[in-house]
Amino acid sequence: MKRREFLKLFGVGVAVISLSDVFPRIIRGKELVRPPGALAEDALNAVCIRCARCAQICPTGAIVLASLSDGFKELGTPRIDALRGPCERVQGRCERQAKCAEICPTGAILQVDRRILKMGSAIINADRCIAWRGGSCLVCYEVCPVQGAISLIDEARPIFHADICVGCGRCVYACPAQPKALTLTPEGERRLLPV
Amino acid sequence: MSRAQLVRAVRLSLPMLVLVAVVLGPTLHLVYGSICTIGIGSITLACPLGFLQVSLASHNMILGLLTPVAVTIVFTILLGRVFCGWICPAGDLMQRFGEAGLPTKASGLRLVNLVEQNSTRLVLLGSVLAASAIFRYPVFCIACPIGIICRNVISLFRYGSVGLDLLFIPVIAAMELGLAPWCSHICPLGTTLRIFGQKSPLVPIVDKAKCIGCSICTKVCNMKVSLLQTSNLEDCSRCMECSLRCPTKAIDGERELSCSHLSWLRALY
Repeated sequence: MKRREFLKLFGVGVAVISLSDVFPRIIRGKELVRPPGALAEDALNAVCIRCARCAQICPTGAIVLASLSDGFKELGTPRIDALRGPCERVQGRCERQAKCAEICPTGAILQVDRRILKMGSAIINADRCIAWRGGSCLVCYEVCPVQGAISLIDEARPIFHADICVGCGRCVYACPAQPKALTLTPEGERRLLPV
Repeated sequence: MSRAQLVRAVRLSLPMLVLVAVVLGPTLHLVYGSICTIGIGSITLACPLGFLQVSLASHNMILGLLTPVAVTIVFTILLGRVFCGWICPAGDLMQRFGEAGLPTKASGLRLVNLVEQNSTRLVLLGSVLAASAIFRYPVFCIACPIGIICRNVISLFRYGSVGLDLLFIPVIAAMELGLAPWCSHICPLGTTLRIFGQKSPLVPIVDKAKCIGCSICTKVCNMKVSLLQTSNLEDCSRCMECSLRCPTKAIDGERELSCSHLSWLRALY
């Protein structure tokens, strides 16, 4: 092999490998709410083949694919967007088993007992909340499937208990305030390590 | 419609039909997955390069993909890079860009050193796999034009929006214009399929008695296969353009898929 050709090939290899490291450093990953039973972040980004099956089968459309703004490594992986729909693993169409975990071909999402699920927690912004501003609204309290995650002060104003909330996003999806008084964050999430 | 037009119409519309199936499949509870792991019911095909990458990235063999990948590989062993010619939604797009410009394309094989072409793309494939194992994510899946097209078509249909990653497509197209043809020189998936499909028994051969040496078959070939010199035959995407355009039908219908290796295939029956 000619020296010039070897150098060119070496350059190609070095370029590909270093760009694969540089891009994720420039476009860093955000903290995302992941589907129920998703592996721990690093394992998920490694195992997920970015085929979109989970997003396709999700009955509420809660699973969307992470975009470039969610991170370079994260691109195409599933995340939960509570504004599009709530996760029904705890209560609803996926009560028996999570459809996303069932269809995932790589094991990036696994079936996890819904009683130990913790995808994140909902956080309230009282300045936007209709009830906290004096109006009458108990929508979040009424739709919450988890006993004790939301309690009421004076039977009127909701307070959120992040340690009990599983992060299904039902309240966020239902919140009638404009803009929404609730946001879903991955705070306190419990994820699985790969087997 | 002539036979040539019919074959061409089928070949160019098949990738679009696959994309329609990807988009509408889930609503009918019929087809799930993008092209990476497309499945009808329990019959699933999976991308061999995706499998290699996620296995290397997770330092673990992804057993769930083993059977779907094996099926894809069997198809590839029998039919070579048939995926590239008939299913890949990016291939036709890339080739259109390629035709729009470029001396490397116009002057065909002369400017493209075959030895260099093959070692470059093997190095590309190798470094993609190495980078996946080192940095723990499927590196090529992020920039794969097939994946990008599928993911964006799905999100366009579901949410009415497309992602920024769609910008990779013009970047790759610019690469096609300025550096080298994507399908035959760069695409790591194409290289993977080429490796598995290089001994495919179904390759076009020329009837020397009818051939007048006009080399139209070489000029029309998107994959830079030279049938006259029988070079680079492993890249043939079975698009059948050579046989359809041959003025003397030296690569004609019955013959185009016959070859010397076919005897062992017949022996199987």
